[in-house]
Amino acid sequence: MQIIIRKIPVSLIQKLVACLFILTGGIINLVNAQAIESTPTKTFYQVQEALAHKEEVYHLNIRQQQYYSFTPDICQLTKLEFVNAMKNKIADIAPEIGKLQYLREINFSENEIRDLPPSFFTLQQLEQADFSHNQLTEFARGFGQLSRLRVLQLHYNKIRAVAPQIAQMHALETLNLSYNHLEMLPTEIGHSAALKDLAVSQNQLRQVPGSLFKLSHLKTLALDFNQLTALPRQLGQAKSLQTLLLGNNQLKVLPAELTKLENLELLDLSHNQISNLPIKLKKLKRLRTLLLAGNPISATEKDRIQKELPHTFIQF
Amino acid sequence: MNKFYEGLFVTAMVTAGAICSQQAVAQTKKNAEAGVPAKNKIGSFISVQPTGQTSTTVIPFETHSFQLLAKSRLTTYPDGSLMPIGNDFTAFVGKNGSSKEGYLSINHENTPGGVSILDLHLDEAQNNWVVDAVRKVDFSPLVQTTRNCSGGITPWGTVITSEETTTRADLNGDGYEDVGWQVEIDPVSGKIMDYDGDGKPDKLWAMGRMSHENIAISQDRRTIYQAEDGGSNGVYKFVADEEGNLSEGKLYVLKRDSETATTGTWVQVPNTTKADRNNTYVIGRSLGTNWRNPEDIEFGPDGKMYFTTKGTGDIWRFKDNGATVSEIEAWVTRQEYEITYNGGTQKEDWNTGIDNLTFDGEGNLWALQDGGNDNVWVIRPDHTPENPKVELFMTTPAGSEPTGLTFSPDFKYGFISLQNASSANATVTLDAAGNEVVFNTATTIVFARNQFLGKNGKGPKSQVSANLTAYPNPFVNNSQVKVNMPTDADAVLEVYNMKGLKVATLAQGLLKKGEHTFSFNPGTTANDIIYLVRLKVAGQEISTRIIRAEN
Repeated sequence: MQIIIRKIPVSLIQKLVACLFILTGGIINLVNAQAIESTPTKTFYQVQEALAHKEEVYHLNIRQQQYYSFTPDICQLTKLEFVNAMKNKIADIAPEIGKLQYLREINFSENEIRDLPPSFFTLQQLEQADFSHNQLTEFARGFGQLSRLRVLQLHYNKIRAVAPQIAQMHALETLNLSYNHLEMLPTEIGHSAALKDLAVSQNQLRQVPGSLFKLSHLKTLALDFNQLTALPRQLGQAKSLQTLLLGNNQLKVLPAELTKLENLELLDLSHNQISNLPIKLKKLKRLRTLLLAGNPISATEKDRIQKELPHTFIQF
Repeated sequence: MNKFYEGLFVTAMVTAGAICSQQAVAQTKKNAEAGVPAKNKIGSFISVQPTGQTSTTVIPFETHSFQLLAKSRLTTYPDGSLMPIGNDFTAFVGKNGSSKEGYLSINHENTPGGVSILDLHLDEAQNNWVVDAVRKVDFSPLVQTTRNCSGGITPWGTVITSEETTTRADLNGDGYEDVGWQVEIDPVSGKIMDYDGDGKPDKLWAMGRMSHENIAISQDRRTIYQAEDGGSNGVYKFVADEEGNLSEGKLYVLKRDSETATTGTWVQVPNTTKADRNNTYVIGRSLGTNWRNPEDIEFGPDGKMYFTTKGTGDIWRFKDNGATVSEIEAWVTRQEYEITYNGGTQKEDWNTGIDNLTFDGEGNLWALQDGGNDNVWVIRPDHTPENPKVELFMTTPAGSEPTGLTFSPDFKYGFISLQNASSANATVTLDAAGNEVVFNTATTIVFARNQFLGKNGKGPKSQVSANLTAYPNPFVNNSQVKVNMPTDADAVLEVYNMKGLKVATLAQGLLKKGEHTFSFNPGTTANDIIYLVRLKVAGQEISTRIIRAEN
C-alpha cells in the first residue's frame, strides 16, 4: 500500500524532542518545537473509540452515523469542545449533555430534534450552535442563558414563537430563523444588542417590531418571503444596515424614513405591491443594487427612481 | 475543469491530423455499435452488471484496475492528524503538464470541510501510483471552509474548491460571510491565493456567495461557469477583468427566454459591494432561471456547455453565444437504459441525482450519481435521446456516493472518490498494487485500463463481479456464505482464521452460473473470533470478514 502512515503519538514526538534538546545542548530547531505545540486536536469519529480515550477527546464528529439519540454515554466525554452530529436521526438529546461544560461549537443540523433539555442551556462556553433542519417548535426561553453564544442557526424548523429572553443574549451576532412558522417577533429582540445578521426569511410575519431597527450593529436583515404589509417608521434608525431583503411580501407603501439608511448597499423589494418609492431616494448614497421586479410601478415612477439613483443597478 | 483537458484533446487531434468528427475521433463505427471504443482508452469497456450497491466497488475488471490512494481516518498528515471524512472532488495537476507526476487535491464535504493534497507519482517499473506526501490546506486565516463539494482546475495549474453551503456567520468580522465561496489554491505550496497582496488569503468574493457546486474554467483564462445546488438554483457565468486573475470580474446568471425555450440570456448580477457578494443567491434568484438543483457544469468536446440538474436527473447542454445562449436541450433524461454486460442484458433506471460530470479524451461523458443506485454512468458521444448510448462503468459500495472524477492530462488515469461508504462493508478486494481494500469509509482511488495499472500491466483480471456475502454476520453457531457466479467457472471457497491458517474449504471445483449457498460452522471448540472467507475465481480473489459472536 502506498499510503503514508505516520501514526506517531504526539507524546512520543515530544519525548524525542526532549531527548534531542538534551543531546544538542539546548540547540534545537525552534520551528519544529512550534510545530509540535500547534499539533491539531485529534478528531474522533467513533464514540466507542472516543470513550476509551475520554481524557483526550476534544473533537467528536459523528456525522451521518444513524444515531437516533444523543446518548448519555457520549456525554461522558466531558472534555468535548466541538461536536458535529449532523445528518443523523437524533430525536432526543440526553439531559446529561449538561456535563459537557467545555462545549464551544455544536452542529446538530439535519436531525429530528423536537426540544432541548433544560440542562442544554447551562452550557456557558457555547459560542456556535446549529440546530437547522430539525423539528423545534419554539425558540426556548433557555437560550437567554447562553450569554456567550455568537452564532445560532435555527432555519428549517417549525418554530412558532421566540421567547422574550432573547433580550439577554448579549453576544449573539448571527441568528438564522428562516423557514419557520413565525407570525411575529418579540419586541425584546431589539435588546439583543450585538446582532449583526438576522434572517427571518420564509416565515409568516405580518409585522415586525419597531425595536428591531434600534439594533445599532445590524448589517443584514432578511425578511423576504413573509406576509408583511407595512414597516415601522423606526426603520430609519438602523444606521449600520447594508442589506435589507424585503422581497415577496405584501408591501404597498414604504416609510419615508427608508432614505435615512445611509449605509444601505442592497435593497430587495421585488414581488410586492409597491407603486411608489419614497421621495429623496438620492439620500441612499451607498445603494448599489435595488431589486424591484414584480411591482406595479409606472413608467414615470421608474424614470424618477433611475434619475435619483444613477449609480444603482435597478431591476424593474 | 475540462476546458483544460479539452485544449490538450484538441491539440492532440490537430497533431495527429485527425478528422474533427466527434464519432471518428472517439471510436470506429463497428466498435461504436458494439459499445467498445478504441482498446487502449479509458472509456473502452463493457458495462458491469447493474446490481445496485454491493459491499465493494465493481468496475469492468476484465479491462480495468483500480488502486487505493487515500482513505479517510487512515491516511495521515505529517502533524499526525487523520484525513477527515467526506472525500469528494479530486483534481490532478501534473508537474509541467505531466500525467505521471503531480499533485492530487481532494475535497472533504464535511463540517468543517477541508482540502487534502497528495504529492504522487507513477512508478513505471511497478506500474502503480506512489503517494509521496500528504498535506492539508490551512483555512484558518479565513475562519474555515465547509462542505467542499466539487471544484475545478485552472489552465495555470491551480485548483478551485467549491463551498456548497451558505451557513451564515462572519466570525472574523471582515464583512464577508465566512463560507459559501469559491477558493483558489496553489497545489504546489498548498496555500490559498492572496489577490490583493495584503499577506492574507482571499476567497473568490466577486464570483459571489452561494451553495457552490463546481466551477469550469475556460482556456481563455477569463471565463468561468458555475452552478448553484439550492438557493437560486442558477447557472452562472463570470468573466474576469484580467486573464489569470479571477478575483474581479462581471457576473451573469442564465435566464431562459421562456419555460420551454431553447434560447436564453445572460443577465448581469451586481457584484461590486460586500452586500451584493454575500447575497448573490438572493439576487441571482430574482434575476435568473431556477433549474432545480443544478450541479456540475462542464465544457463539452463539441464546444457546448453541459450541466446536470440533480432534482430532475437531466443532463442539459447549450451553446454559449456570449450575451445569449441557444440550442438548450435536455440531452440525457430519466428512463430505463438497457445495459449490456458480460453475461447478459438488463435495464437500469437512470433515476435522478446525476451530480458530477467529466468528459474523457474520446468525448465520453462520465456521469456520477448521488441518488438512484449511485452509479457511475458513461454516455457515448453519439448518444441521442432517440438512440441512447448509455453504459455502466461502476457500481459503488453500500452507503457511498461516487464523486469528483477527473482524468490525468493523457486520459489514461481516472481519479475518483467514494464518499462515506458504510462502515458495515467488509468485503476485501485486492487493488492493482496488491493491497487489500475495504470500502468502509470515504476513499479516493485511481483507475485505468489494466495495461496502465497493476503489476506488469496485468492488474486484477478475474470476474470479481462474482458476489460474496455471509449471513448472519456476526454469527453464533454457523454462517451461510452465498456466492453469486456471473458465469460457470472453477472456484475455490475457503475460510481462514486471522493467523492465516485455513480452517475450512467450503467449495472447490466448477461452480455454475448463479447463486450457491455454503454453511460454515467452526465448531464449539474453535477459539477464533474473526474469519476471512476467500473466493478464488480465475486467478483473482475476493474475500469478506465474518465474526463469531461471543455467547
